[in-house]
Amino acid sequence: MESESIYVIREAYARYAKVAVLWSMGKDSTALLWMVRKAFFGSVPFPVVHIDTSYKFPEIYAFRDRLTREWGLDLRIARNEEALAAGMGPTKGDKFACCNALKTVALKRAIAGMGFEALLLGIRRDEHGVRAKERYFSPRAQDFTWNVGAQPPELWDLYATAEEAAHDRIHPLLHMTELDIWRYVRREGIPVNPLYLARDGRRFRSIGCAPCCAPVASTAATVDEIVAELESSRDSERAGRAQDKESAFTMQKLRSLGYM
Amino acid sequence: MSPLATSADDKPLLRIAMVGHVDHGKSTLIGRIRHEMSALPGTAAVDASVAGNWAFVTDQLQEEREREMTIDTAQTFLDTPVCRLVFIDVPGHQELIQNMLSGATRADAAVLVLAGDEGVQVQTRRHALLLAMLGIRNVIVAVNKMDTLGRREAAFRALERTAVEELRTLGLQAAAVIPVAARDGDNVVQRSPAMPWYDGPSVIEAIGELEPAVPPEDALRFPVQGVMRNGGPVTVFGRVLSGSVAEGDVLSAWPAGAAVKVRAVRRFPEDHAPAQTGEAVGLVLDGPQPVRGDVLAAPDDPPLVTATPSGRVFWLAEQPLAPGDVLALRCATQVVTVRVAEIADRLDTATLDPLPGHEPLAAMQLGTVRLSAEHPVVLESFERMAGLGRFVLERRGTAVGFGIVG
Repeated sequence: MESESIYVIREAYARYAKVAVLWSMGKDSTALLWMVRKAFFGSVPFPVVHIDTSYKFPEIYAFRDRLTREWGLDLRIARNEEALAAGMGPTKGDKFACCNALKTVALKRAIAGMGFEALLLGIRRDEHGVRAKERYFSPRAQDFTWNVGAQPPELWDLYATAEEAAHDRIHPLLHMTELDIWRYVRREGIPVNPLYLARDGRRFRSIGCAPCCAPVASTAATVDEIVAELESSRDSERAGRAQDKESAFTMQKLRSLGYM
Repeated sequence: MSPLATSADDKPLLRIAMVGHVDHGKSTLIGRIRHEMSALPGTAAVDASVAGNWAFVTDQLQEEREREMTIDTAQTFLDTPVCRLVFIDVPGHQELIQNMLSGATRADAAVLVLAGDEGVQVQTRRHALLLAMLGIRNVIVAVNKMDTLGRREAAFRALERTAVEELRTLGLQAAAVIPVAARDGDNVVQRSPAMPWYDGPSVIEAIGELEPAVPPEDALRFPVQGVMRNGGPVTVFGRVLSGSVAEGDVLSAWPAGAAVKVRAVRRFPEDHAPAQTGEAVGLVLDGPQPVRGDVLAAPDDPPLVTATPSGRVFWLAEQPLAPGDVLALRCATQVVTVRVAEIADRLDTATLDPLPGHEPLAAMQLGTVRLSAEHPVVLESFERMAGLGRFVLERRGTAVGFGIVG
């Protein structure tokens, strides 16, 4: 499973002049960053981009700054300052508009500003029914759109990259499940954001912006306990994410506009 | 690997594609399996709102639900006590064959779904042909919608004979042929009490009995993915396609055939053990430095190197493939410009009938294509080594066909 991911990461590095990896400091993109280090013998040979909505948990910023130092990362922070100055926030309008402005638009500007041809992202098929339809190499148009119904064929691991794409999204963790990630975190000893570990009977299973993520009831205070909990749980991973509940097909609409 | 690695990390993985004609019940069968198997610990329960509409488990796009038809391939996961199962749903509609292939090329096994009321249709046959081409030998046949046939044995046996015969002409043998009513759950996970005349396995039981196809031990092949020049010694990186490689080994780098010696095997954290099949590692080499696309091989067992590659090609694009066309051929990490020299032995994949003459190869036709390459290509026969025996043809960076090396 790891060698499949490393193969995809190295394909991106070997084929594009300007690559970056998106890092949200969550378990998936941190595991991805870990694999990038393994792929390139301890270094991360391209920039690491954090799309900062400014609404993240304080623990997320602390975790980011610690690993940036320890791993010697070339961190670039992307924020939609205009929208933030105009007061955009999760409690001020609808959540769809907020995600779109503070994440998708911020990402668009970062790509345009820094000229990236390809972005590595830690999304997984088992997270959401729409992400289940993703490809490892996924072209995005100039206006950022993703046409999920008309994706180019992707045969075996012979990844094609369409000439007309404005940039490509690369998804090295696509085949891993939530449980796979935690087993991998355990096997490798990857640092874990403390928000995932239970305090006072609650922990976060999925982390993003503080106002839009709810913790789940849990006593799992170590990675071993998280693995054991997931091995016996029947609740879905994103049960605490407001964005998925707001209306039917919200994720599809967000993703077709270029959301991660 | 650390001592913390548990057997759960390394359980065998089986990826199963559901294939067959449009509206024969592929998505419904996956949804019903997920529903019944979600009693397994560690598996998220199927959303109660889809009860009855089992196809919605994988048909999650608005357009798919409105049109009641799978448009894009999707995957869903089951972690059973003995193995990890990945179900790959694919569209049955012939206009969406490229999405079917995006799913099916990732599969180790397949369930060919056949609706009892319609029997073998064009896409049943075409999908079965593609399974044979892709080397997927583990095939189970599910005769679905048995409720429309009154769950009668005679009707099932007739369809069973037809399906077995269709597969045999393609060189495939069904591991099981199962009467199913996916919507109601008959013989999906539990044996159906409504079809007492059937004493074979349910679909899940038949999947559990499949023997994973293990490629035989073979000589070293290491397609070079790239070269890392910053930070430490110049390191060639890639994944071992077959065989193993150890420090001190002398290898040959193809297509040139130059000799190189392995000074070090690199990993992070540092570990110099020999690299085994499937492993992604780095190699520090003495001798002329190879480049991306080169294939390192055991010197006493060189690969096939040719400037005139050929193969059985299945064509996907609307614009046909004609002699003289120039495309890019992608095989492992190689990309080579090729010109079409000749197209022969075309086949209509709807009927399996041969097509006359040396006409261009149209979408969904199969033909033997001889190419003339700008640089020599490193290949193997598909039977010997699938990873160097299959290629994709690309136009402007989009896959327009794929080929199998005979």
